[in-house]
This record gives sequence, C-alpha cells and structure tokens, in this order.
Amino acid sequence: MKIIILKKNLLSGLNAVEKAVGMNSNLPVLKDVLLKIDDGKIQLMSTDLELAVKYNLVGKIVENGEIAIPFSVLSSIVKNLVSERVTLEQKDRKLIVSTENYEATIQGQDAHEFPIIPSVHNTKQSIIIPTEAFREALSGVTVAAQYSEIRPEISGMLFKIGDDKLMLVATDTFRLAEYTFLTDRFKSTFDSVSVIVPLRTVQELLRVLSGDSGENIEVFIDSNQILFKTRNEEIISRLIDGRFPEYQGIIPREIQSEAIVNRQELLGAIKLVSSCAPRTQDITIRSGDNNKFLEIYSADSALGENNYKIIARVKDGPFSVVFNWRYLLDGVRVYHNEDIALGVNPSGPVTVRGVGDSALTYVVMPIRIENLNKPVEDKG
Amino acid sequence: MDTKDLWRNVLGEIELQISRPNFLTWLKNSELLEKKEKEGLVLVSLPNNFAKEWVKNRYHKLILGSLRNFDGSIRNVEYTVVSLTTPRTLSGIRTKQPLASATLTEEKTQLPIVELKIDPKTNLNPRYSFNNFIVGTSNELAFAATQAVIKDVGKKYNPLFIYGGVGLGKTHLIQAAGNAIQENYGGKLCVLYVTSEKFINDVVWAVRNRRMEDIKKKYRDIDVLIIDDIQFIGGKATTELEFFYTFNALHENSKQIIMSSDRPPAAIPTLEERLRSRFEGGMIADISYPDYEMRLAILKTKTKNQGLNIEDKLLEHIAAKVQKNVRELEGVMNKVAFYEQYKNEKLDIKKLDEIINETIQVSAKNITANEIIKAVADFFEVPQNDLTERSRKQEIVEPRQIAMYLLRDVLKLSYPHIGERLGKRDHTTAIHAYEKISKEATQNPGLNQKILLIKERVYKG
Repeated sequence: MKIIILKKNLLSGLNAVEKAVGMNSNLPVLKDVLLKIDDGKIQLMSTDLELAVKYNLVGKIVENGEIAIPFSVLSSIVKNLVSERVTLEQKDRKLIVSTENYEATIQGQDAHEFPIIPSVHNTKQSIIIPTEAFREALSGVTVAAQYSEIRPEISGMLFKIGDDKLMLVATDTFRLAEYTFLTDRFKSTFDSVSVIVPLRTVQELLRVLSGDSGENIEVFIDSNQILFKTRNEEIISRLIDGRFPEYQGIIPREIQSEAIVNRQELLGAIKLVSSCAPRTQDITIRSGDNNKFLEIYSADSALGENNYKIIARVKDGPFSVVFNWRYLLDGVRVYHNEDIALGVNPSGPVTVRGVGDSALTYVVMPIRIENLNKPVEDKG
Repeated sequence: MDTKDLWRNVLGEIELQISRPNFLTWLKNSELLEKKEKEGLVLVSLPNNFAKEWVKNRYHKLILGSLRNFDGSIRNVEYTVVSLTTPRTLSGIRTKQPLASATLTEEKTQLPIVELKIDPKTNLNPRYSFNNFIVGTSNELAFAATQAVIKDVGKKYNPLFIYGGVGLGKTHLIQAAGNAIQENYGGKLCVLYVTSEKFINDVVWAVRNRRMEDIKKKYRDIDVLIIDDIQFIGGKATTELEFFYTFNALHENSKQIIMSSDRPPAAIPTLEERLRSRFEGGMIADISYPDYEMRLAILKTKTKNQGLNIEDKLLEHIAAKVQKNVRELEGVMNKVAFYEQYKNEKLDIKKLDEIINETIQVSAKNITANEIIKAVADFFEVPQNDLTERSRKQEIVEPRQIAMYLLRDVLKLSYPHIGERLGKRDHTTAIHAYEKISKEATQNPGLNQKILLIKERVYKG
C-alpha cells in the first residue's frame, strides 16, 4: 500500500473518525484506525462497536492495500508535521510516514484483525435531507436530550416518519423538543418508520456535519442499525431497543396566554436575572400591567433580588410562571428567529416557539404556574 | 444435554483457542437461543452487529466444529442480534447537569412532564394504584368487582363496566386495576389502557392511511383492554364498528375488557344497540357521590401522602362544603396548601369559603331560571306551561320537584320565589321538594342520573 496525500486532508479525516475510536475496550485493535486503499478509494475507519465512522480521503493512490495503525500515534505525528505533502507506505505490519525531511515507522496490525464494519442491508429505502437543515434540526433538538442509564429509550433521539412528515424528538422528562420536516424539505422512500438513535451518535453527527454544507445527507435504516451517508463520510450506529414515550399529548394544542418578545433581549434578561437565582434555579416571568411588557424576577434570601422589564406583546394575560432558568435558557437559545413566543397553559408545559417558523417546538415544564387569567377549568 | 450446557461447553473450548480480549469482546454476551432438531440448525444470539459480522466471518468454522464435537446432529449455525436490556455505560457523554450541589435541590422542585412517566407499552400511569384509592359506600361495589376481575382476569366479569359522574375516581380505579394486573402477573399479561379519544384517533388515522391491519393487530394482541370514557365513541359509526369487532375478538378469546363511562350503557343515547347489549352482558358497577366521612378520609390521606400540613378544622370544612366531585376536593386542598406554603398565610374559615367558591363556582355563570325550567320540560317531554302553571297532573309532580331542586341548587333562588315561579306554590312546597330530591338523589342512582343529564343540558345551553 502506498499513497501521497496532503497533510490538511489527512488531518480532517483523522478528526472525523476520532470520536469513534474505542478507548476503553478489552480489544486493543479498537484503538486503531483502519487505512484501506482499494477500488480507487482511500478510506479511514474507526469503531468502538457501538458506532463506526468511515471517511473517504482525497489523495494520490500509488498502490492498494490495508493496515490498522494506533490512532493516537498517527494523529500526533500528522498534527505536528510541517510539510504539506505526506507519503504513507506499508511494509508488512509497519506504516512508514515520510516527508522530504522526516520519516517515522509506526508499528501497526494486520488489517484482518480490525472489526468488520457491518453494512446496512436495506439499501432500497432511504431518507434524503439537505445537510444544512438536518444539522439545524439536530442541534435544536439535542438541547432537550440527556443520557439516562435507567431509561435507555429516552437516551436518544426519536426519528419518526409518518403522515408525510419527518420528526426528530428528544426529551429528558423535564423538557421536550420536536422538529418537524414537512414533505417539501425531505425525500423518503419509507412510509413509516420510528427508531431511536443513541445520543452519542447524534452528537457525533453534529460534529461531523458542521464541516459539510450544501449537500444532502442520506439515511438508511435496518432493523437494528442506522447509516448516515454524506459525500465523504459514513456513520453507522446501533439503534436503541425500546419504545419512545407517547409524547404528542405533551405538546399543548391550545395556548391560553401568549407573550411575544425579542429573542436576544429575553436571552440577555434570563442570563442577567439568573445571577440572583436561588439554588433551586427558579426565576419568575410574569406579564406586566396593560400587557406591554414582561417582568423577569429572581430572589434569594442570601443573595438578593433583581427584576428586569422587557418589552413584549402579551395576549390574554396576566400570567406568572416560575421556571428553572437553565431549562428556559436552553429553549430560548436554540432558535434563530428574531422574536419568540412563550405559550402558557394551565395544564402545565409551557411552549417556546420561534415567531414565523414553526418547525421546532420546545416544551418545558415550569416549576409552577402561579396565576392565570382564568380559573383552571375541570375537564371530565 | 440442554442448550445452555451445550453452549457453555462450546464456549469453554473456544476460549482456549482465541485470545482473551477477543473472547471477551465478541463472545461474552452470546447465547444459544434455540436448536431446530429437524434442520440440524442452531440459532446463536450476539450483543451487536459488529459481533455478528465478526463471529460469522471469523469464528464460524470454530463454533460449528466445536458444536459438532458435542452434538453430531448439528449441521449449521445462524446468528442474530439481541440487544442487551441494560446498555453499557457510554464513554464520552458529557452530562449536562449543572453544579453537583444544585442538582439535589433542583430535582425536588422541578416537576417532570408527567406523561413521560407513563409506561409506553401499557399507557398506564403508575401514579394510580390501589394504595391511594379510598373505598367507601359509594364505590365499594365497583371496587369489589375490580378486585374480582384482577383475581380472575377475563373469566369472571367480562366486560366490566364502571360508570359514575365527573371526578369520582373512575380513571383511578381502572388504571389501578391495570397496574395491579401488571404487577400480579409479572408482566405476563399484556395490558393496554387507552382513552376512547385515542382509540377514535387511531381508527381515523388507519382509515385515512389504509392501515386497518395495524389497528387490528394493536388492539387484538392483548390480554386486558382498558378503555376510558367509552361514551364518546357513541355516534361515530366506523369507530363503533371497529370497536365492536375488537370487542368480539377479545371477548371470544376470554380476554378481559374494562370500560368506564359517565353514564350506564342504556343512557348513552347514540350508542348502537349491539354494542349496548354487549356492554350490559358483563358486570356493571357504579360510583356515586362520596359521603362526608369518605370525603374527609380522602382529604386526610391526600394530605398525608403529599406531606402537607393542614388543620383538621379546615379539612372538615372542605369536606362539608365540596360535595360532588373528588377532583374539586383535591383542587381546593391544593390551593389551601399553596396558600400556607408559599404565602405563609394562616387561613380562617372565611378565606377558605372564598377559595372554595372560586374553585367550584366556575360553571354556574349565565344560567337563567327559564333555561333550567325549559331543560327539565324538554327532558321529561312535558309542556313547559304545565310546570309553571297550577297543574296537578300526576306526571308533572316529579319534573316539577326536580325543577325546584335545580333552581335552588344551581341558582340559589329563594324558596318563595321558586314556589311562585313553578305553579304558584307555597314556599314550603319548594322546601319539601328540594329536601326530598336531595335526599333521594343520594340513594337512587336513577334519579341522580336524570339530574346529571339535565344539568348537562343546561350547561351546554
């Protein structure tokens, strides 16, 4: 095996596969990356047996072959190289890395020892989504996700296709985020599908996708694995075995009181006011008189208190709701809209939505709702 | 040699031939699932796809050879992936929990979204159990019937039909039954709880997407079907038909069906005859209004469970004042607790009365005496004039007494005024009618039902 490659390209490949390298495993070969040159392609692969990443490198192929090399050694060498062009050549179980004035011989392993990365067999059906939109959806929804050892089914993100919609959903039981793609924004040959992708895979995807833009991502799904494919990368992950909670009922269908505020202002207000928040993290948001502003307030007997007023348009107020400010801040932060709308309901969850764009919905459970315009009505 | 021993022996042999890391990584969580004697085929489960690929490609010969050493009839091995129920701890996940010291107090105050506690498979909310269900004279029949069903699922009372007014504990009772069945039978029986709204939505979805088989599979592959507020399916033809088929399929296979409704089957006006007769074929039990002692017991249990501290005097007052709805009872209690906890106010009886009034008087607005009289007349199909004039016809007596009762109960009109309004009677007649009906309503479910239905008409306008 022999290739000549630009340092820049090799480094971006190493960065892409880095997170899938198995660091805490019984099997030493998992700490390696597999370099495989075959069929006109240069591929880097790594896996920790939960997740596998394949990356296609661009370079000049001199001779085909494959070898497994310890990731940490190769990575630290490539990072510190000065020259632009690098030659990689295999001699038995060793890899020789050389530039005009540098040469290293790395002890590798037979490629045969490296795990076989399982392929997704169902290649007939797939989902195609523009990378940019997909990344936005992922980053919006992950804020509500949290890894839970006790409840594996919510330690991931739900990918659901049904009724001509693709939905991404995550929750940590305190808040929930849902992103909806309507038919004009994705293509799918699945009629209906519902799988839970591990949170770690989602984080890895986000990392990898932030480099790519302007292309489409293609998603293939098998009974227990999922493959995300872009032009350069393939990410293969197991799926979480379990049933995602029936969450639709949580998103309030009707909203009793609504406040529309400038997002940046609210963001700043929450950060500022939280400085006096007690250890329970609560801050209060209440609508001001004549429905023209919102008051954001927090107090702690040991720290002090503060109160901030921002201009808002309030419909059907007054209301007063106590939040955990971190959860609220997460919800406000994920949007890119100029204005956002807070929807308050007597039944509990408060919605945070971007004004003018309804793809993402963030729902947060307040600590308590103190007073609403109408008495809580009893429903059979 | 059984399959477990066979596999243990095979692993013992293989362990000697491959390196320890390889063995731990690929074969540690493997299992021999089954052996098909006829085909000489053995099915082996592995924890993930990587292991499956690896074992299939690298160790297949080794495994087959070793298996054949122990059992010559085996000719082939197939592999499948079975995920472990508890996943390994993932490295590289940064938990988003803020400060360690903050988390403890945070967890206490932050309410989780309750719906997510619901078991996704059964739809049951673990909050409802018999531990916090209070049994009194008003619901002991329903309770006993439910207990009998739990003991003898699908055999004794099938279907079990529970009915009663709003906020009296129907949902609590049937969900607790579901939870108890889950627990007693160690999850061997498949329980499904749905509201009738969910059932209707499912049917509508299936009709629209031509996926009727999905619905059939979902609702027929279960052992216990619990449907809440069944009265809402009345008048929805396709749903009724689908429910009818589901009902028959389950009933024939002696699967248990439990339903709740706000009125008996006979009183659901739009329900088809064939469903009605089926609902009536099992056991029908009602839940009526709790008496004073039971209301007090409910309040005391609730305060104890929630660790609230409310004076007995106040609880007694709430129990005396809020009579018709357990949920309102709780609502008032929660408000009282809120006042004491967050506002640090000591409540007296007068303030308490205010709270009670603002909680339970929601629906009494904008109702006039005429509307009530008209509703009563319509319900009994008697001319309105007969009620308001001095008619002494026999068939008018009960409607007129009910009208008097309602005018007093809902609008708080004075007795002389009521007497004047309805047949120019003396105020003592009105007092007599009010007392008679209030007393009978607690004892006679039929009358109670009539009053509820009339009230419903009045409020719907």
